[in-house]
Amino acid sequence: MAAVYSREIKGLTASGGQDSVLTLSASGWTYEFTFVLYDYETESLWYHLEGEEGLTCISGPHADRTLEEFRSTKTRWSTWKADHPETRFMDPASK
Amino acid sequence: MGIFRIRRSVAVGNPLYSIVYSTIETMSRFDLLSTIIIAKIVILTSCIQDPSSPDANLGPERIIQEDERIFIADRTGKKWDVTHALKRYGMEPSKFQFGLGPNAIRPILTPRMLSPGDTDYPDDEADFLVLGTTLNDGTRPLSDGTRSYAIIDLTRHEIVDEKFGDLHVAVAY
Repeated sequence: MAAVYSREIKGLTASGGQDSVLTLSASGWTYEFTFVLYDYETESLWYHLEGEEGLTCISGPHADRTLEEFRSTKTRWSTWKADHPETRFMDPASK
Repeated sequence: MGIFRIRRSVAVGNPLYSIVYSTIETMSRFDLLSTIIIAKIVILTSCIQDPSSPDANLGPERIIQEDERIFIADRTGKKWDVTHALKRYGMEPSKFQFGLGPNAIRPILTPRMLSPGDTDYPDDEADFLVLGTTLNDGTRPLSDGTRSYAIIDLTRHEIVDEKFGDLHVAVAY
């Protein structure tokens, strides 16, 4: 599932801080054919639960916290470009 | 049946292909449709793995119980505590699959964005799939809020850790 999620935890965090920014990555696991993500900072597991919006922390220090999902569109480049002439595009050589 | 005539001309010189395409050409449209459906069923059936086969075991290398905690071990030996996922969300340890390890699919951590006019910026009519997003409706000002990512690049990395202005986001596939 292609989607855009927040990486920001608001309020009291697992480390006791007020806000934190997560670095998300693939955990190497899938669950029911969907990738399970994890964050570098706490190794919490994040998953897009069926029927829920956004990512839910299913295990780890951030358990039950959610990361907001933002609106995004999967479409053909030519269509996207026609609708958004000034769009920036990620360089495929990015690392 | 024009397409088959073209392909048959390509197949000239290969007896097997000639027979196949001659047969297709003589089929009625109904026969051809039936054959395609049957072929698809055969292919799909062959893809469904026998659960008793060792190859079908894509689940965790090990499921470990220590006191009240449940862990799943991936192929690198790393243990993941999934106790909360099981108890709170009713997930099943055996349904966690592949377990390739956290370094198997590396995210893009420093995405470089191209702007119109840049050398490698795609032509307007290029034909490929993208995920596009416009993040300009939040409460904070966002810079360069309209961006797009080729799906093929997302499939290779699964995650792009991005920053739109002050907003930190993950573009996921």
